[in-house]
Amino acid sequence: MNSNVTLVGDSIENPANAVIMVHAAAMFGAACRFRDTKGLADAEAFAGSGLATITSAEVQALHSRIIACDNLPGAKEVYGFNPGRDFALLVGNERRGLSHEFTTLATDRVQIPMHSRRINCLNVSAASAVALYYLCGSRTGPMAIRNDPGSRRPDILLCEPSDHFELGSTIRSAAGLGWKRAFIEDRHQVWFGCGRAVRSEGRAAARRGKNEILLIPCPPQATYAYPRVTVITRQKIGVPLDRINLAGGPGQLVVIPDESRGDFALAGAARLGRKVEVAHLQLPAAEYTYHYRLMATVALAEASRQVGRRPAVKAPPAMRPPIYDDALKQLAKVAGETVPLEDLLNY
Amino acid sequence: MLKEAVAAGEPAARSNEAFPARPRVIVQPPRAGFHHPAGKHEILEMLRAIGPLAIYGLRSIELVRAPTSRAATVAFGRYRAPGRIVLYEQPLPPWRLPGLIAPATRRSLERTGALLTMLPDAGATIVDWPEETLRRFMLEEVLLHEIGHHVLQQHTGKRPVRIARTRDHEAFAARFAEKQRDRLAKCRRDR
Repeated sequence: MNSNVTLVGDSIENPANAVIMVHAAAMFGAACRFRDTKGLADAEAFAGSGLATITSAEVQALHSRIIACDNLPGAKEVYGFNPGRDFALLVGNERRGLSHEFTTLATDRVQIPMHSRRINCLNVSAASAVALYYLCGSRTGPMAIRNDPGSRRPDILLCEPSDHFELGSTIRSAAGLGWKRAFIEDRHQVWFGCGRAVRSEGRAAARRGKNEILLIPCPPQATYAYPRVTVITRQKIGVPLDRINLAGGPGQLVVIPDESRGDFALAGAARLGRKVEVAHLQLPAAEYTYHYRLMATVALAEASRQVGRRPAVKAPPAMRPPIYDDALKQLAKVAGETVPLEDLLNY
Repeated sequence: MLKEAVAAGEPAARSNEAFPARPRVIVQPPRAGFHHPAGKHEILEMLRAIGPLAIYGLRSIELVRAPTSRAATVAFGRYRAPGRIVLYEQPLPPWRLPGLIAPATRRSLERTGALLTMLPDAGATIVDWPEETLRRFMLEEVLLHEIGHHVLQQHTGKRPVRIARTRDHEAFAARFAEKQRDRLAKCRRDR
């Protein structure tokens, strides 16, 4: 475990989020502790293991560098941010974000750039995984700047999700990171054709009330003719995620399979397109608890980083206000006289 | 509330209603060899004499150093919308100016008492300002002219944008200054 990095959850309300944050921290070899103001320690999920808590004073004592991850004013993009080897990463409450106490504690502020007008944040555990991936996992560059990033955005296929909460959070991430549509191969019927309770919970996790992403069901084992297919898997095969081009535009299909029930059969990926590439997430930990939302959100964030954003628009200069000057009018010109240099010297 | 009180002919709420919300007068110390002919007190007196028409919307009158980019000529003042009048420092008299002054400018200077000596052979002009004449020139020619620009700009309503051709703007400012000069002269005579 990387004892120099601590993920700190500030006033997390949902025990399920807290558990997944612990797992996300474990994926990157970091410790995970919570500032518990919402009775999280009493939750069933922590009845056996107990909740590791931390106070603001302890955070300051443990780490000299404290990084707040929230869409705060002046926050830098998490992509390409170099935090050093010893830092605490603060993430805030699901609804209210970081508390004022923890915000003032921070020495740095980072954010995950959002591209959606309506989904302006990710699930807290998914955001923690993305932040940890870029801060202590991969060393990538900043977000690409393109005049037309939309033309570089690939299609995504969420393949065989097995849990509606995990799929809902992934759909929320996809919308927040700028995708307008996503294909879903719903073999386990967790999104389409599911029961009412599952449907409601899944839609709530996806923030479907304001999430405008278009979800297209795909029949299992259907064939497609994409020129390029990129499968992102947990298996240690293929190239690392940050070394593969995920900005191939609509001709590229990025497949993110849910591997909680077993590894994805790569042989079956040939039905999706002509050329199949495989990429994997480079994780420091060999053993970790798999969560589809974490893997998928990191993959989507990396694709979003490569797709990039438009350059910042310069504000047009304000119109110059009318100015009227009053000065001595142009002096009348006088015909000049040529003076020889000798005369001038003798003057 | 205030509008209703005024309409009903009731006494105004503010004691200094005759001179409401006067503009800020900002004075920057002049450089060596220069001076501000009209001080803050004289400027406020002139504004008081003109009345609320001149003051409404006027934000500041600034006595500043002359721009160095125009060293070849003498800059008197500037109006910058919305509501900012700048009066530049002036060199201590007498002024020795290269070239001959145009007739219209000459009349303007002589009207306030300047003594002009034209040196056609040397191609130069000497302008002397005896006693209070330069102060009078800055107040009655320059300040009134700039206030004329402000009045046109302010009362047209589109304050930060150009609302007339420069030639028309200048003509209005000149007419305004002339009218106000006549009115002030009449007031002095009546007194």
